[in-house]
Amino acid sequence: MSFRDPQWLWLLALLPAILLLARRGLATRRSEVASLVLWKKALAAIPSADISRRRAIPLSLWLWLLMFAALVLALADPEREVRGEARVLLLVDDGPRMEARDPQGRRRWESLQEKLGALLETMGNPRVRFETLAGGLGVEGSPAQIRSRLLAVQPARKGARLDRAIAIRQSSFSSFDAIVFAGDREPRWGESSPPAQLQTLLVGAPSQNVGWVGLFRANEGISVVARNFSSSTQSRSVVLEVAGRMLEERPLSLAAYESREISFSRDALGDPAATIRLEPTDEFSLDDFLRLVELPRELRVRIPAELPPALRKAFAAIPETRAVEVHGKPLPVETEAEIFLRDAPEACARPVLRMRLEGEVFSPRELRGRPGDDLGRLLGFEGVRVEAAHRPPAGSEPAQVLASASDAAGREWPILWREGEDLAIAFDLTRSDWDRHPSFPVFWAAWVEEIRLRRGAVENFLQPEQSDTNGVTRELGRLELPQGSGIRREPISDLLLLAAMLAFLGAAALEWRRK
Amino acid sequence: MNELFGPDFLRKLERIRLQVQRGRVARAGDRPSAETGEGLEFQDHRGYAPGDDLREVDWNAFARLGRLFRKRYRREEGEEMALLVDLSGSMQLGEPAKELQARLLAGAFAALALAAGARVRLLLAGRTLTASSFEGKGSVWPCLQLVNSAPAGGGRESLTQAFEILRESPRVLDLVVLSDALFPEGPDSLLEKLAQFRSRGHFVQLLQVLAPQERDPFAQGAFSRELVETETGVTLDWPGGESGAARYRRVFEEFCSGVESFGRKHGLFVTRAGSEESFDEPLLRALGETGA
Repeated sequence: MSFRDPQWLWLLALLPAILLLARRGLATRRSEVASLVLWKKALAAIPSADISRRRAIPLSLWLWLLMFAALVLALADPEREVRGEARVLLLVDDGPRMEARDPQGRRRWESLQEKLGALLETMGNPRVRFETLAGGLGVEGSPAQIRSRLLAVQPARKGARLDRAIAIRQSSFSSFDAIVFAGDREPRWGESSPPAQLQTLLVGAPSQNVGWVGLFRANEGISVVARNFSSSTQSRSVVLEVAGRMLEERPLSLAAYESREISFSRDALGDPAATIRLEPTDEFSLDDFLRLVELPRELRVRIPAELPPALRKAFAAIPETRAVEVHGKPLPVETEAEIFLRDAPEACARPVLRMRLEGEVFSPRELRGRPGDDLGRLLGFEGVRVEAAHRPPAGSEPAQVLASASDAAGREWPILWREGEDLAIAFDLTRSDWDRHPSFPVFWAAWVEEIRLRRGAVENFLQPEQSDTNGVTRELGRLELPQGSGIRREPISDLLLLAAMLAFLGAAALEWRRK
Repeated sequence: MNELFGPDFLRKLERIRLQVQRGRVARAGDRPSAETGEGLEFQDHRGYAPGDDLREVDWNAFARLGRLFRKRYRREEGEEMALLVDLSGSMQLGEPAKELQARLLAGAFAALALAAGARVRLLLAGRTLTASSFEGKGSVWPCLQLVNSAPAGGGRESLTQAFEILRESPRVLDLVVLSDALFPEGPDSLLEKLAQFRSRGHFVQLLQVLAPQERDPFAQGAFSRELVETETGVTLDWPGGESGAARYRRVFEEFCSGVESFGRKHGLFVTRAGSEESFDEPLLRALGETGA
C-alpha cells in the first residue's frame, strides 16, 4: 500500500497521547465510598458476563482509537497496487487528410493501417483501446481484435481539430500504460506536456523541397501557387477539400525550381463561405496556411518602403516600413497589394495583424468612433469605414489602447493599440465593403482571407516553407511497455472510511449500552 | 460556628425542646432496662429552673419553703448521657457531608440534655478523640463550640478509643451514637459494641446518618467506576450496568433493615437520618422513638 498524501500520517503519532489521556480520564472516574462491604456483596450477585465489561481500557475506547486511525489513513489517500492487464491506448487521426496519396498513389491511411497493424502484432497481449479522433470510434480488445477493426475503418468525411480531440481525452491518459498516437502530424498539446507514456507514429512528412507560396482566393475561385525548391522533378497532387469534403485531386509535377499556379473554379468550391482547406499530399505541408484559413494566428505585415500609391497614402504616417510578410515570409510588393477581407465566424480565434514599426509613429491618443465613422479620417486616412470592431483574442486585452470604436450595441472595442513594438489594428469589414473598396488600403481585419499578388511578384516571394511540424515520418517498430505496466493503483480510502464509520457505530453502541 | 449552630438551629432546637417538655419525658422506668420493675428512689432536691418538668416539682417543699424545688431520683444521680459522634473519614462523604448532620444532631442532643439538667459527656471521634463533659445550661454554648470545632477525618482509632473510655466509665450512661455504621469490616463491629452496652443496662440509641448518594449512588444513572474505600484505600472495580445498580440498592436496603432488626433484637433504638434532612426531623423521630 502506498499513500498519495503521506503527510497526514503524522497524525497517528497522536494515538499514544490520546490513549494516555483516555486512561487518565478513566482513572479519574473514581468514587470514594465509606465501606466496600455492601458493594462487594452487590458485586458478588452480579453475573460474571456483566463484570467482564469492565476492562482496563474499555473496548469502546479501542474502537474510538480505531476510528481515529482509520480517518487519518483515509486522509493520507492510500492506494493499493492491483496487478492486471497492461493497457494501451491507440489514438488515430482518421481525418480526411489521411485520404491523401503518396507519389506511388498509395493513400496515407493505408500506410498508417500497415504500420499500426505491424505494431499491434508485436505488442504482446495488453488490453488495447482503439479510438479515432475524427470518426469518434472507441473500442477495446486484444491486439488481434483491434487489428481487425483497424482494417475495417476508413477515414472520416469530416476532419477534427486534433488538439481539441486530444484535450477531451487527456483526463483518461493516466489509466494507460502506453499511448500511441498515429497520424500524419503531431498533435498540439497546448500548454500541457505530452503524456510521458506517449509514443508517436507518423505517416507522411512535409518535404522541404516543395512549398506553398501563397494561398489566394478570388471571387472566381481559388488559386494556389506551388514551387519546387529542389533540383529534381517533384510529383505531387493537390487535394481540394471543402468543409471536410474532398472535392478534387489534381496531380502535379513540378520541374526543378518550377512554380505553378493551380486554380480551382468557384463552382468547385461550392459555398464560398465554407472553410477552404487544401490538403497536401504526404510531402506537402499546408499547416501554416491551413491555420490561416481556419484559425488565423498571426499575420505579420510590414509595409514596404516603396509603397504603391494607394498604400502610401494609407501609410503616410508610417514612414518606416519594410515589406509585407505573410507568416514570416516577406512579401515584396512591387505593384499593388490587394487585401480582401471577409467576416470572420464568431467561433474563430481572431488574430491581430500587426504593423511593425521601427519608430514611434503614433503618439498615444484615444480615438473614439462609431460604426460608420470614417476611421481613415480619425487616423488621418480616408476611405475606411468602421463597421464593427472585434476584441483581440481572449487573454490579450491590450494595455495601451490608442483607438476604440463602438458597435451597434454600444459596446466599445479597442481597434488600435500598441503591443510592444507592434501597432495592432483590429476591426473588420463586411463583405459589402469589398465592392466599395476593391483597392482597399491597408487596414487589416482580424480575418485575412487572402492576399492577392500579381503574378510578377511571385518569383520574389519564394522561400522554403518553414513547417513547424517535426517534419519526419516517425516509425514505431515495436511498442515497449514500461516497467510496471498493468499495475493499477486503486484508492482504498473508501474502505477506510467505511471502517471508521463501523468503529464509530460500535463505540457509540458500547457507550450507550454501558450507560 | 454561627453557620452550624446559628439562629435557625437555635430556633428549631427551642421548638423541639418545648415539644419535648409538653410531651411525655421518657423516664428511666419507661426505657427498656435490665432493671425493669425497680422503682425510682428519691435522692435529693435540686432547684427548679424554667423549663423543668412541673411534675417533678416537690409541691410540699414549695408549700413549706415557698420556693420551687425539683425532686431528683436515685436514677438521676450521676446520670450522664454520652454522646459519641463518629467524625471519621467516611463521615466526610456525601453531599451534604454526613459529618455536618452528625454535628448538628450531636449539638441538638447535647443542648436538650443540658437544658434538661443532664450531664453530657461528649466524645467526638475524628482525627483525634475529643472528649469533654458538660453540665448545666450554662455549658450549652461551650458544648456546641466543641462540637463545631472537633477535627474530623482519620480512621476508626479514635472511635475505638471512645468505646474504651465508655466501657471503663462506672457511671450509668445513656449512650447516643451518631454514625453511619458503614465500617470497612461491616456494621457488626459497631452494633456488637452497642449491644454490649445495652446488655449492661444502658439506654442506647443509634442515629445512623447516611448520605443520599449512599442510599442510591445511581440516581444520576448507572455508572462504571473504580470505588475507593476512604479509610483504607482499598479499591474495587464496579462494572456498571442497571442490574448492578438494582442489586446495590437491594443490598443497601438489606443492610439498613439488618441494622434496625439488630437494634430491635438487642433493645437498641435505631433511627435513620439523612444528611440532606433538616436536623430537627431525624431528631424528632429519634426522640419520638424513645418516647421523649
